[in-house]
Amino acid sequence: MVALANLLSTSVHWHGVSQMGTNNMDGVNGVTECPLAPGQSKTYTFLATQYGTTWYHSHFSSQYGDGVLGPIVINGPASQNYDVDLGVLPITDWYYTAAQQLDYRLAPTGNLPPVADNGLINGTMVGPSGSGGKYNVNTMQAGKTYRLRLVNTAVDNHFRVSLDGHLMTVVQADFVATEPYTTDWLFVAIGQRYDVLIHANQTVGNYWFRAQVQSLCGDNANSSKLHQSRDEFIANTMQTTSSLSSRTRVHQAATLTHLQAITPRAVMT
Amino acid sequence: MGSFSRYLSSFALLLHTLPQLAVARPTVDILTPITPHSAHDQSIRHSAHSSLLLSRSTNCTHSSSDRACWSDGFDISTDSETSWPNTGKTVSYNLEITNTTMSPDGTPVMVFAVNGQYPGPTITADWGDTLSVTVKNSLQYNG
Repeated sequence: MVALANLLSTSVHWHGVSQMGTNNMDGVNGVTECPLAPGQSKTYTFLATQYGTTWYHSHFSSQYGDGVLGPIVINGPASQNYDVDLGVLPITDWYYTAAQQLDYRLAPTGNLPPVADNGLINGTMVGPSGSGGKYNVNTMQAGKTYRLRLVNTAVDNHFRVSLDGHLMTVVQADFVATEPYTTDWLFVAIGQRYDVLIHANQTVGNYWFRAQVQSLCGDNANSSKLHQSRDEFIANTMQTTSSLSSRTRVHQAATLTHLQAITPRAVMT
Repeated sequence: MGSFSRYLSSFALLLHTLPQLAVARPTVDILTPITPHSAHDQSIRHSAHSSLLLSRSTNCTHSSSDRACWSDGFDISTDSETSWPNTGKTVSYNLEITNTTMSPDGTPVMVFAVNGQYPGPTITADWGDTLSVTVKNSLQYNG
């Protein structure tokens, strides 16, 4: 373990946030500020002139791949009504080796980016071997409409996102409100945000929320492993209940390959 | 310089240019349906629900049954690139970055966490609020 101060600097960027008149708050070290050395602080002050969903992340080298990121929600009007805001669902690739270490090793080689070891939804996932970790779970009440804020915070993977048995209505793309349109899946590139509405209008049960790595848009060991079967990758469970007071334990797949066997089932009330 | 590094560099540049693009691009007609990935053969159907984009009601209360409304003359039809509220309210957050080890999928890995968590805490504010976020770099080890 070696402490190299020049790898431990940072600055935090507010992705997609307009900084008209506050350019020095943009958080892009080397461009709008000097990086913050260990022990240093900086207060970033800016007006939220836009509304919707975005994220903040380190703009120092590849450091955000090591964890320096988080969601931003700016409440505002929406182009279609919904009942409940489920909040942000960050989706990312995940590496067992530090991003800055991979970056340093690869720089002189000319090789392609490494294959990601796994992917995370809202910072959690079952391990590629099927043990360890857990799926992220969201719960919806049948009949209600939910807003879900998707953000791809990955370093290299792009995702095709869908929820089994449900359609998604897009009401915002990045910080721009859209005429609502309905789709059964979305391609979410790195850094992109989509705000979608989901109507819990299907039979009460458990549904896989899927984020599949797309060919030529990054590679993921957890995806490759399953490619022969169905090219399924990472999943989050969206659980619907007949009422919020009747939550039941979510059916956890023992291994990722069991994803295919999962079918909606009634929840005991 | 390797492709991974180049990739990151170009990505970093892209990230940096996004706010500028948002500022520089001409007025966006938000009434035009956005087709983000038509090349991907994505089936797009207009919602059966009526759009709220055309509605404008200044004397209204934002609610689950009137999401188009916001406040004081600002609503879904406002062009947020040229017009926005200023609430005069400041929302403050402290983000401290530290080294830690986490096991989000069962395998322990080194993480640079924000306030001890990954992903970092959600910053929440209202349209027109001022954000004041103090970032403290408390990183000590890179391995």
